[in-house]
Amino acid sequence: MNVPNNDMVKKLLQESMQHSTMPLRDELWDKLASELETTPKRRKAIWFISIFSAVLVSISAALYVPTLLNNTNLHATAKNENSKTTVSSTNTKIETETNYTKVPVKTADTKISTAKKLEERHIETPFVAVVQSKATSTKKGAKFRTTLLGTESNNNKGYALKNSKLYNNEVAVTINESRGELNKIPTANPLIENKNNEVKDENTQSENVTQTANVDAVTDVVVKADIDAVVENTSELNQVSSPEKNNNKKVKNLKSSNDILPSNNLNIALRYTIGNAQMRVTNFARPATVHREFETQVEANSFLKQQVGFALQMPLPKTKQWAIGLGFNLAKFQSKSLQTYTLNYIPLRDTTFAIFDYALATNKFSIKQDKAMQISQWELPITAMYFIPMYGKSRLAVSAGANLSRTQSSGGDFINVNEFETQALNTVLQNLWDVQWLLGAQFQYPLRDKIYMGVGAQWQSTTLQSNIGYTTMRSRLQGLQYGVSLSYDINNKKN
Amino acid sequence: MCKTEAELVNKCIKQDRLAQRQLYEQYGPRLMHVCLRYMQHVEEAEEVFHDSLMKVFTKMDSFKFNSSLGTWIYRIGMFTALDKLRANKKLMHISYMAEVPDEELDDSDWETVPQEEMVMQWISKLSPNKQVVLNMHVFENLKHEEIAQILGVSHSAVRSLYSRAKKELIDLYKQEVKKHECAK
Repeated sequence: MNVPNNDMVKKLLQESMQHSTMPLRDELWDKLASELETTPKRRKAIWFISIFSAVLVSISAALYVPTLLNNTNLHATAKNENSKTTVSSTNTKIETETNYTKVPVKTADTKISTAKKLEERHIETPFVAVVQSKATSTKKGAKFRTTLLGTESNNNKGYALKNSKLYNNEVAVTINESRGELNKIPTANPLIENKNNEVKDENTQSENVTQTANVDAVTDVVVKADIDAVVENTSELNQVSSPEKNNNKKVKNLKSSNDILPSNNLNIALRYTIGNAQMRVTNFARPATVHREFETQVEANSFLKQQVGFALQMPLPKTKQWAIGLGFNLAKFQSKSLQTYTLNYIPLRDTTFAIFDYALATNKFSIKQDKAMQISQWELPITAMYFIPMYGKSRLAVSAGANLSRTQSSGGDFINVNEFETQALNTVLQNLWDVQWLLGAQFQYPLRDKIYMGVGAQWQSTTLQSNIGYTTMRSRLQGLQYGVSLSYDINNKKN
Repeated sequence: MCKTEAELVNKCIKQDRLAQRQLYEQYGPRLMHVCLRYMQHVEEAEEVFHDSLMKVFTKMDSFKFNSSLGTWIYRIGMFTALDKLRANKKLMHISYMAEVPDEELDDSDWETVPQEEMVMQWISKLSPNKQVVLNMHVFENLKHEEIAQILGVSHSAVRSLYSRAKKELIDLYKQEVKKHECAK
């Protein structure tokens, strides 16, 4: 008799269990109390790591911002200083001011004294050449002699001063727009070497042009020129002759590592990596019902790992090659195929139970996966990076650090947590915090000014630990990934 | 020793260990019973019990006194057990299941209140899906519609699961009665 509205079975069952309780074991409270003790500590630890990261970012930013401001205000501060060079051509007049180069000229052959400073203070860009302009006298109509001293690239190709911009020391004055004499030098003659450039007028396209200039003070001016065009197969700029010695003295290349290392650059990088990861699971079980311990090992499971993320790489002040990287990654591990696990029981203590002998005798069990497993993680990496200059403008970045990561998983890799119990592995690897260790190396080369393309490899390792009843399960997850990255130097000032 | 529910809740929010112990002793045995009804093994039930109480203690500030504290705690126990069953994939997805015809649900002989241990034994013999539906309908007093919503299955699936669970219980009851008569 089925009476839904007057469900007799329901009533009787309810009545039978109206005041049902179940006695509690003392251990349950002990376990609960100990976890209640540790939970606030765990929270504190997470807070500590978060605050530590935030402080780290703040300190890096605080140390870094003044450098940035210093660089960007360079032009403004320069105007308040004394040294002044005025050059005028037929139609235009250019005033340049400098804040630190004040080289009183006694003779026309005064040595270059500011080159060193330029090297130290200038933020270099690809294809920067250093040229020297000398006024031959203080009189009106004096000639300027401009000599290319070298290039700050370690590339042995020559550079032509085509569409060049000249900078008087640190002060950006685009002389080419008004003077034009350097513009007009044909690219076929890549080097302005020992040429007396006498500017007649700005339309003259001659290698030897006459310059009409008002010179207030004869100054050895070391100027910089940005060069747009590269001329192949020209003489080595490392060995450009100095004008003072009539081609006998070699001037050293002014190459500096500053221009390729991130000493002044905040760098933001987008990354994608792909690779293999392996997981090896070890159970250490201590069932309360049977007084013994044993260990279970599972053969490694192979995953395809993909990772996308971004990172901010901040140079450490007062170092030229060190930077600290902070970022965010999303990682996904996909089980490559449905696999059969082999479990080895390794006895650790006490063999009094027959079932244990069975385990010992058979030793190996196989469990077939029913569904491919997926693990997803998000990661907060903190890395220390060391940049090594390589060929051309390329650089090698070596990094080491740690990830704070959070793991989720899905899919049905079943695993024996002890002889009696089979658990889905995804339930074990759920909502876990852990710290991963990482080591990596990346070769970066410039695609364009400020934009670097990187290829590299990274090794990551972590141990995920979780407790299932009386079993402690440790899953070691490690692997090597290969990746590409695109990075952008935020304040790589061209000037 | 807290005398009122409000006092107990407030002290538990402040992580007063004595109040937490009092709550454990006051509501724990019943909560454990709830857990045992859903989980098949004692170890699993203890684990659910542990997780439930951790949730209770960490989320105590979200208790708004809309129900009694006991109801709130047991409901947390129920949901934790359901999560555990889902995670262990013990709950099967049911798309369609025919209801048991009325004539097969003959409970006319069943008049006595069965012993608690007996009922627990019978429930443990049911499949996890039936166990869950029976527990939720009979002991948590949830309507079929509510159960369907919580489990994410159709209303008809809940009804048929319940009728099947009931039929199995009636059969078990009849077997027990027969055994009893034979013993006499």
